[in-house]
Amino acid sequence: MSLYQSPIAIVATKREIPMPIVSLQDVKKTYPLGKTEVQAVKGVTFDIHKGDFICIVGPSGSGKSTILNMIGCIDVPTSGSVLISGKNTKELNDKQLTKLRHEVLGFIFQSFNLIPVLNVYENIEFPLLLGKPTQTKAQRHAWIMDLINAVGLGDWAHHKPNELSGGQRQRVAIARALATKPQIVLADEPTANLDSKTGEAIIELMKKMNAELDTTFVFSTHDFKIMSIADHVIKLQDGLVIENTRNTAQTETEGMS
Amino acid sequence: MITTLRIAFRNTRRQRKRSFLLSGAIAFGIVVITLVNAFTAGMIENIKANFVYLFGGHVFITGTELSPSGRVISLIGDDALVKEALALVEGSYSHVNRRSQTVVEFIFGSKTNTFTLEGVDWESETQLPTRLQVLAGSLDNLQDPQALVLPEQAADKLGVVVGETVLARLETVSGQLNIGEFQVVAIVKDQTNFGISSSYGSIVYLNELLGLPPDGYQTLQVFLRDINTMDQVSDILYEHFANHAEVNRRLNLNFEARTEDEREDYVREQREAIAALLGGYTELEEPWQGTKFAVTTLNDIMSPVVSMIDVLSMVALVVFIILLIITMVGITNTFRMILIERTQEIGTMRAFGMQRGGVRNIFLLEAVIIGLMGVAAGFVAAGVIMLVLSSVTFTEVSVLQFFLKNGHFTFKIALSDILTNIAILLIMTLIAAWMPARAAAKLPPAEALRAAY
Repeated sequence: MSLYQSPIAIVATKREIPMPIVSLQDVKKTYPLGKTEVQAVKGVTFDIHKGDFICIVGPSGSGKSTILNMIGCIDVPTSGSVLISGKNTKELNDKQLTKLRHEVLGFIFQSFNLIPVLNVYENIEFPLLLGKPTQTKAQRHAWIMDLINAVGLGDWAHHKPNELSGGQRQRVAIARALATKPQIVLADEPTANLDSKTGEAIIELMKKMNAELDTTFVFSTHDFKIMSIADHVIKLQDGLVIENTRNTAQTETEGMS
Repeated sequence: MITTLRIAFRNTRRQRKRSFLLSGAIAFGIVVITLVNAFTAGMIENIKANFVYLFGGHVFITGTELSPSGRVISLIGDDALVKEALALVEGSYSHVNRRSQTVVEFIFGSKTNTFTLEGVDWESETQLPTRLQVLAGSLDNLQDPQALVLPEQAADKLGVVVGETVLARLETVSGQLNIGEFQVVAIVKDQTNFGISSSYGSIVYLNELLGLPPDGYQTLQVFLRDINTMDQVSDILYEHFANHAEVNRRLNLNFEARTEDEREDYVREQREAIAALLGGYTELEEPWQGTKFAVTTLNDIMSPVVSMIDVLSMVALVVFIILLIITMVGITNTFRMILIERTQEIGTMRAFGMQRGGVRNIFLLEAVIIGLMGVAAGFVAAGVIMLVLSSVTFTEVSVLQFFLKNGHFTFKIALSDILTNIAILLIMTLIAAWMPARAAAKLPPAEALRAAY
């Protein structure tokens, strides 16, 4: 499978679409820390287009997770705006944000975060059972089995998460993130809890899904080896973007202040 | 909703010991309240049944008349009015007994013993001989006016056997001493377990000894077909007597809500009512003609006992609620711990689009499932305990006999009580789980996902 060629082609096509799927404009985020405040993100601006396979890199505390949380609508910026499919997240209430997450976003976490009481099949099914059903039962079953087979866990459908290895758990998490056919999948350091070989395999699987389903992937890492697989890299340091690079040899550096 | 239910149900099985302990605490509360409810309800039934046996009947009609000398005597001379009254409730009763009774000192040789002698009309009371368990002699020759049926205990004390003659010393209704002669025809097993046994003789002969007319009697015992019609039947009878003759006030042993002044009158009235019921002599107030009737029911006599048992039930309810409050604190505390343990999980579910209500429902449903498991376990345990207790015979403990049915505890469970207890329990469980559930629902997803447990 040519993991590198097709996504690039997609990115190249999609980049011509003027409307970005995610747009961050001068985003700042401040957290209270005891009696003081910590500014985790100090004014970040960048766009993500449909079908992108983006890697956000930077050391611990550089603001990667905070930015991913704000794109993921599980946090809102202190100032500036985050637009998801043209909607300003700051203007939405909790219920609307939750609905937006369900409809537009998928998540992959560093520590997998599978629901321990549900088996592989049920974990993947979980997001599909929230909100109004859009498929028949049979369609849903077929789609979940497709996902399970796509991540290579066909024989593990009825196993509980604690019976799986770390790599297998993250595969379940990927399938779950894709269950609702989201436009964007966010992965916060998806390889941090895996050995480097498994980590690479996971990133490759994500890339494969990105190519096959045309789903936008945004993941964070501080592993430079993995970073090279991405076709768009945003480097962060101290809450600012220090580099915004496309692996298509086209490089742009955005202003930092 | 199915997902929520599925997750909630499986969550209860994550820490089985913890769920087991919580359910156990709830089950314990259910066992206590169910046992007390069933026991008191069964006890009331048994006491009533035992009272019917002891007093002979459900409704009692007694009468007092004035002798020519102005003395009050216990007698119903106006049987026609009684028949009229009974005709009004025809079909409600299975049978009636007309009885005279008095306390007699029996003398046999040098031994004496005092107990109640019931004057029975053996021709009409065909049921009594079938109920008596004959130990010696026979009940074939009851037509002899001097025939006497003695309970075992009395026969033992007198040292008398069947065929022998005993003397009976008693007081006539006019207060004179009289002596009668009886022949023991049968010795029977004591009828009650309470040590209060009666001997039986001919009503005609007893009336003669008492100085009453041969066809007179002192008490009419009415046995109803349905115990629940007791108040209705007694009201009809009382009204009829009140319309056609003098009546004593109804017995009412409820001492509630009375002022000091009222109480004095009330106590006097009740003293008269009791005296009339027991065939004693009341103080003469205003003279009257004919029979002055009194109508008493088992409920009237039972009411203080029932209110005592009601108090017991109330105490049980208070204990149940205290137990529940302790359990609730346990539930709240446990769910707070669960909240901390599952913070990241909550964050994950919220991230994937579960609304706040969904998270809250998972917690509440988990509490309800634990509550229901406790309820089920509690009812099973209570059932087993009741089964064991009711199979044990307590014949040796005579104090208990009044509350037992043939020496056994009986339990009666009302469906309404069960439903009330389940409702109370589930509501309390929901209240206990509400705060942690709300806190879980309100967790900001970003913060919840950052939690490392």
